[in-house]
Amino acid sequence: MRNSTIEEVINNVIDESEQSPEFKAAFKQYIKNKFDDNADENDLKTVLSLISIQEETQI
Amino acid sequence: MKMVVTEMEFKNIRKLSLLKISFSNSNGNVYKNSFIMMGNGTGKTTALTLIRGLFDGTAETWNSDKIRSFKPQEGEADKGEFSIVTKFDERIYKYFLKLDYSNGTAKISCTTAVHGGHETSRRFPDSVKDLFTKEFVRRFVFDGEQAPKALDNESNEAEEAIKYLYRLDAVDEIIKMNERILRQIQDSEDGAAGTDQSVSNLRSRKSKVDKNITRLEERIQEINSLIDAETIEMGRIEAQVKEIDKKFEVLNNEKTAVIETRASIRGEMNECISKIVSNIKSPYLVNNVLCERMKTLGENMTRLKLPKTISKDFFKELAEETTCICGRDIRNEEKVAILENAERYLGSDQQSVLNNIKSNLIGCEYNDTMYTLFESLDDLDVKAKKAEDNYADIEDKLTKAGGEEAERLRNDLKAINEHIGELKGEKKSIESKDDTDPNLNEDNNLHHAKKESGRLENEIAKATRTNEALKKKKIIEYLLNKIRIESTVRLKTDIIAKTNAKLRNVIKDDVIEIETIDRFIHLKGKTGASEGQTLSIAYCFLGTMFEEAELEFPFIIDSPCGKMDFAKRRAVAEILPKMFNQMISFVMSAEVEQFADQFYTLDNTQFITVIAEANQEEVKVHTGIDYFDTYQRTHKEDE
Repeated sequence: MRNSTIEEVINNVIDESEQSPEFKAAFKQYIKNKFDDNADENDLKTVLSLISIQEETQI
Repeated sequence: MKMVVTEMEFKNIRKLSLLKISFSNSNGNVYKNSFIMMGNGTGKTTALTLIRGLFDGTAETWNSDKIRSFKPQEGEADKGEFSIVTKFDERIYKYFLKLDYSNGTAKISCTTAVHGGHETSRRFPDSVKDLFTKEFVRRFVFDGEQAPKALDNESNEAEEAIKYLYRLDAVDEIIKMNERILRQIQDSEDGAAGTDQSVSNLRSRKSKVDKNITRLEERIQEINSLIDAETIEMGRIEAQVKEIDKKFEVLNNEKTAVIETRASIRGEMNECISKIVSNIKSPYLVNNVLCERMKTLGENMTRLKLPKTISKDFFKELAEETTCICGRDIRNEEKVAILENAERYLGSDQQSVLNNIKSNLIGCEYNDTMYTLFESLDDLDVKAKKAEDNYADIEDKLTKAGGEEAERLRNDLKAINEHIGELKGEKKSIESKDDTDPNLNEDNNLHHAKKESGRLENEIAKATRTNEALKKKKIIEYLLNKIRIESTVRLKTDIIAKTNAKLRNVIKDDVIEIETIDRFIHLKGKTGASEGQTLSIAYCFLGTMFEEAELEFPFIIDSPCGKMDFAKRRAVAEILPKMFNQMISFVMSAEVEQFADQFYTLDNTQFITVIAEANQEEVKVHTGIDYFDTYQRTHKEDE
């Protein structure tokens, strides 16, 4: 992606979440790929599979 | 994604019988800057109109008169065609605008290998397909003379442009995809769990609530746009009223002066009439002849007598005196004479009135008092008529100057203000988060609708045993919404800061700064800017918007300099090439000096001179700086 401001926001917002490093890396990459028209539904399903849900998970 | 224009072709369009302009060099690479000089009336504005109509699709809505206006004056051509070849990254799209002068119709089509050949309508790559609206195309196919209009936008197009140019719509696409995935999971679990009608009911209720949310959000957008538009309209009307009031003030002062003069004349006339009425009690003053006749009448009246009742004792008492009123002695002889002759001087009791009349008649003395008063009254009457004429004249001028119009506009302002108040009230109600207000529900309030949608979503997840999938969906949704909101805020701040930095370099004789982009541009501490300044703001803002956008567009511009002074021209010439991947500039000879000539030393720049005469079939195209520069020097005075 070209715009560094958006890239920085994506990194910050995802890094601040309480998710695993694997999810963070995959989700960041997925969004950036989507900005470049290079991501599909299966990629998002993969990202979703990396979210670990616990009872006390805060949404 | 990067878009470039590689070729344009005109066939049978006004003076352009056949003109093909390539924007690529011999190696097939696109020139970064292309200057096309066309004399007045050659087709510069026509070219821009055709490009816009083709890209935004409005050409197909042109009326037959407009379409036929493109027909060449010479020759028998009943069809014209304009085409543009573009590249989106490496994918080639060729767009055609076919003009049928006989039927007065225009048809757009497109060929591209991407979608398998010829298309019957415009096609764009998916990532930009929603972008080619009338407003957005106006941003990159830019008419310098229309700069104020481009900035004074009544829609929320500036925000929409940011959303699409910076591809924030991609975030929305992920959110929708995320919803689809959850639905797929729930559908499969629903089937597996064999759940009943209740899930279907829950979904149907949620769908209804979600539609409410969309409707309410759209209504808020609509209200914002209406408030913006009406606020602008109010500003416009207020300026009109102010302008009218200026004229009104001068005329009103004149009217007051005339009213005062008229009142003063009336006062003088009343005073004069009072004097006349008063003097008319002395009729001898009316006319000298009348006066003489009255005097003669007095003299001819019989000898005066004294009223008997009150005067007879006077003679008795006088007879008893020793000395008369004339000083002589009164002896017996005189005493008898007085008493005997008294009767001759005594008349009836009305005698005193006659005496008075006679005395007055004899005392008549004519002067010119009445004559002067009547003359004054005549003069005052003339003045009064003149004052009435002046008053009528000023009333007429007031009407023409818009005194009544100002009143009507004030009423309009009041109505708009009331409507804005109603809209704000409606918006406040839709956005209220008050849970205790009994009037708010999921049909008229976003907070209630979102709460209900969330509750139903949880119910569906519970019924389909997909709670975990729902939580995952919400995590993704939450993060994406946060990214979108924070990105928009940061982008706006960046765009404002970078635009203002450019403006400081371009406009050095004034302080012009953008304060906010709240759907459209607001200047700090200013309600407007000069024409040159507005054009500079437009370049700096658009340049910044496009400069770091995810999507790269060409900048196609007509009349780039307008009324810019030389200093601003040089500054803009310096920044424009840095902001766009491709600039195509249609210029007049007068716009070369201190603008186009600033590009003479730059690489990757081409200069084209197009000469088309109505009576010549062939359109002559000259490439290169030499012809371009010579032509501008010899023709700039023509413009």
